[in-house]
Amino acid sequence: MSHIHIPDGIIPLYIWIPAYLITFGIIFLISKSINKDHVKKLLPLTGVMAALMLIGMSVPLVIIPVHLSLAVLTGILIGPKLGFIVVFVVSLILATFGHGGFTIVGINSLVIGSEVFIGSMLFKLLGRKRKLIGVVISTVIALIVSIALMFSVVGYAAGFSYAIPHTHVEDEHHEEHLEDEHHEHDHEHLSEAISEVNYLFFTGWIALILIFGFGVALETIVTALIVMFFYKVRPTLVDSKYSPADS
Amino acid sequence: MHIADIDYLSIYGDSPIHKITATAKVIFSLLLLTSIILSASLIKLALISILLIALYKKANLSLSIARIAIYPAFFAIIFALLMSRQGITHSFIVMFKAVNAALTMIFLITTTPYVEIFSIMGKFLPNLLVDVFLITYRSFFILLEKISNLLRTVKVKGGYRPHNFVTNIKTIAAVLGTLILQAIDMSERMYKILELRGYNGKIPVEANFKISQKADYILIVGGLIILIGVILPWNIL
Repeated sequence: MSHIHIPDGIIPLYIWIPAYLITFGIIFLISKSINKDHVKKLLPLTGVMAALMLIGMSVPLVIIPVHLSLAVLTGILIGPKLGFIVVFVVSLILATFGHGGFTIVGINSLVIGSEVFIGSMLFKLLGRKRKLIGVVISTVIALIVSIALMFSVVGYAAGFSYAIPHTHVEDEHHEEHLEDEHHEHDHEHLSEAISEVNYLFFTGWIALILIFGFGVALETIVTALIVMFFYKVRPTLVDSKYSPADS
Repeated sequence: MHIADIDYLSIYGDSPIHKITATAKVIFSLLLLTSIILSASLIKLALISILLIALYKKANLSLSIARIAIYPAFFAIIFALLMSRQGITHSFIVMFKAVNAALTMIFLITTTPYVEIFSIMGKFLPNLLVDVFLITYRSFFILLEKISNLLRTVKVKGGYRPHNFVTNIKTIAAVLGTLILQAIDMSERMYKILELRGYNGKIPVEANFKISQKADYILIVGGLIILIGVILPWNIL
């Protein structure tokens, strides 16, 4: 749910180019370090998980201005390495259809990649003994970290207004400002940006907490229910003793 | 996302643009995309839009396919409004950039079969990444069909209950769980197929990369001229 939708031309070069370089560096390291037989077995599942993530990420939830990402679930099923590849592929395909610009693909890969990594590692650690608690804690922590990362990166690079989900934009100020204010915009105050957030009957911090809270809750509930469904019908998929993510 | 339409157009399209080599179209699209990202002039971006519309016409693409660009336009409007304090011109620049970038990519994927695009990517990117792209693209269509059938089944069997949030969330999770199980079964079949066909870390994709036709060169030079035109300062006003 921490997928960033900023169009091209907003994020400065000194942010998006290093993000791309780091992303390609990680992909290069993954493709060199990963076990070839392991990849051979998991390649079809990796592609299929990417397609599922693509479906999840291209459908807005309407009731809240975020969407499901299924990133933690992907990490649990195929592991953090292939999970990162999936995140890059999905971000690039979504950018092709204008779901966020091309300049944001590297940043999106790193932010959602962190969600995959943290979620799958925590689940590996906590999911052995208490399955439901394990998946809930893993998903919540992974989402909170990735949202914080998204908020910080976008807030620093373009201003906090871009990091905050917007449901209503009609009450924006329309004061006449001149060109030199372009630089001031980069240093926009967090409090000012948050005060402009609207959701249902609420504004400011309450609206922001509600949006992210609902988003995190929904993603966690769906991930937990799917993982528990797997435990019932096909435990080998998620049980860490057999999970392909561990091989 | 109309991917099925895009797939059909790219394979069965019969315009002069469709006949241009995939390499030339990929280079042109990258040059155009770079121009769009670098441009900070409304006039230049508007001219690129006009050029893109002309290319759509030349490629016999119905402008209705460009409706996919409405999605980035929607997001761009939000950001444009956020930027309205910096002036209306700046807002329009944001919108033009988002829509032009989407139109460029839609132009590429509707005039070039996806296998050819991925095979060009395979020259520069790790095989693993290209293979994941290929399987993702194919799986997407199959899963869309499956999810549509599943949702129809849920509705017919009374699984969707308006105003009952808990039941609906459980149903959505069960639908997704079933879909993922079907997807995993599908991936296991794919693995067996890949094994039988001797998969050894690279799905072979064949395409004609050689730039040889006059039209290939025209397109690439056109892309270069646009990029130079964007970088060099000029103004008609």
